[in-house]
Amino acid sequence: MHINISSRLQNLRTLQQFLSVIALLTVSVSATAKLNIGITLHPYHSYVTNIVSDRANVMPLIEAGFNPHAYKLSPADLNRLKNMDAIVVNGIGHDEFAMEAIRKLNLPNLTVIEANAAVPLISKQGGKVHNPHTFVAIDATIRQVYTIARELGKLDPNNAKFFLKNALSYAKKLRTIKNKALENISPLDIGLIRIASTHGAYGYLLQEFGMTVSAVVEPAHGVSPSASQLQDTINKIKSANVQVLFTELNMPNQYVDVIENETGTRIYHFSHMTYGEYRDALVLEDMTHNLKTLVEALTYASETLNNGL
Amino acid sequence: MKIHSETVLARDGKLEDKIVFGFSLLTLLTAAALLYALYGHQHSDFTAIPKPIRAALTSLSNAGEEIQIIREIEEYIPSIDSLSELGIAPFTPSALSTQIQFSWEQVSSCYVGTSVIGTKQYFVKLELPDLIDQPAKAYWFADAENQKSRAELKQLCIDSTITWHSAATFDNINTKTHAH
Repeated sequence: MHINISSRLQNLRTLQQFLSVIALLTVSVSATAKLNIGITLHPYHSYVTNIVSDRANVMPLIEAGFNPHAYKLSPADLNRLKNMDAIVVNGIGHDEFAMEAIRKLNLPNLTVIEANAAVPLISKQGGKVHNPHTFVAIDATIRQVYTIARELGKLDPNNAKFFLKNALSYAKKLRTIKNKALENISPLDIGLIRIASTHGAYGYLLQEFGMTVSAVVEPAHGVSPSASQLQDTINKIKSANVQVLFTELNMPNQYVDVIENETGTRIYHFSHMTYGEYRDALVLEDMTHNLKTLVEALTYASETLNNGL
Repeated sequence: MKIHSETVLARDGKLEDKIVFGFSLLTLLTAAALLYALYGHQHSDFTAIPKPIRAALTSLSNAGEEIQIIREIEEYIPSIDSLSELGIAPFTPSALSTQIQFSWEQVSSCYVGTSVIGTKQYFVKLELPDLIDQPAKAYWFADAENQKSRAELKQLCIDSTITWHSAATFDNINTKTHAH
């Protein structure tokens, strides 16, 4: 009888030790397990990789090379979505392909991080429609980077400070690009410069330099204006005395040449940052390009106005 | 065998047209009424952030994050002068004539700024939370009737008569939606 009880106690101790080892292993695995963070657009890949470095896995929801404006998710995309712990979204109109699926699928383990949650948005009255191109501007990008870092820190508290530190460092890099542009723009007389753009992607970027867009050419992104709309735009550009027209890199728009010829407005190309492969350096590189282009355009417009042309 | 016969008068189609039209109209009106009841009034009192202060509010919101980081690392709340020296916008003087300049005051963990643009006076405010791991919140208020123009700027940090709007558009939408 005594042996039997002792044997049972021994078994219980062994079981207890076994469970403790399992519990320890689980804790250590969960402590080292990396978050799988999804992104919907190219700029968010840059933001998130710069925030998390090697302490999380960053996975694009859709493969490179697709136009996010009219994309439909494939079964492979949906599988990727189901394997994510979190997904960073634009959430205000540029990644509706993802938002639609997220709303319908009801994935309880997926945390949706709304990058634009704290951004002061360009909104239409009523508050239902917003300009979604916050990722083309410097300060709006910094705002999104901080929001993403904070939200990821909530999901991975062990790395929360690391994420925020990286966000601050990334913000400094972005601000350096802006300050360099400001140095070049500040001597210019830009008060009378008038700007047109092919679509509304550059509103956030231009407002950071105190500029507004006098005319937007395309009725919607990638949609060429009709002949009568084009004529109206040409008249509007002429009457507003627009000096520069911003359009998108790698977007062949024949009507832009017509506008240039008819109005004498000079064309400059900005990157929309939603093309090609997903790259960590995309945003810093393309922001540098965009602000260099902005400086060139404003210098040209300022000289044109000074020369009274 | 008895054959039962019934004479059916041919319709001229006019009555059916009226009935179909009536039902179509009723369906459309019901759908419109339902849609309005569900969504129509949700964002009717949404106030879009005014164009002249939108960029400054974005900078202010970013500054809030950076002030929280300073609080955490250096354990103090920076003054307006030190924020300006650190080059943190919008506390630092603007390099461009096209950007707005604000006058600033600070009351403990609240920063409030004002600028006159055209005929309107705009106020912006940054409130730091008690906890350093929480984000700061930025707000704005447009004083179209210049009622607050003579008020001491510092008082606006505690003035409960002002309806401040959140700089985060998402907050505005959610607040308005929940209010109904």
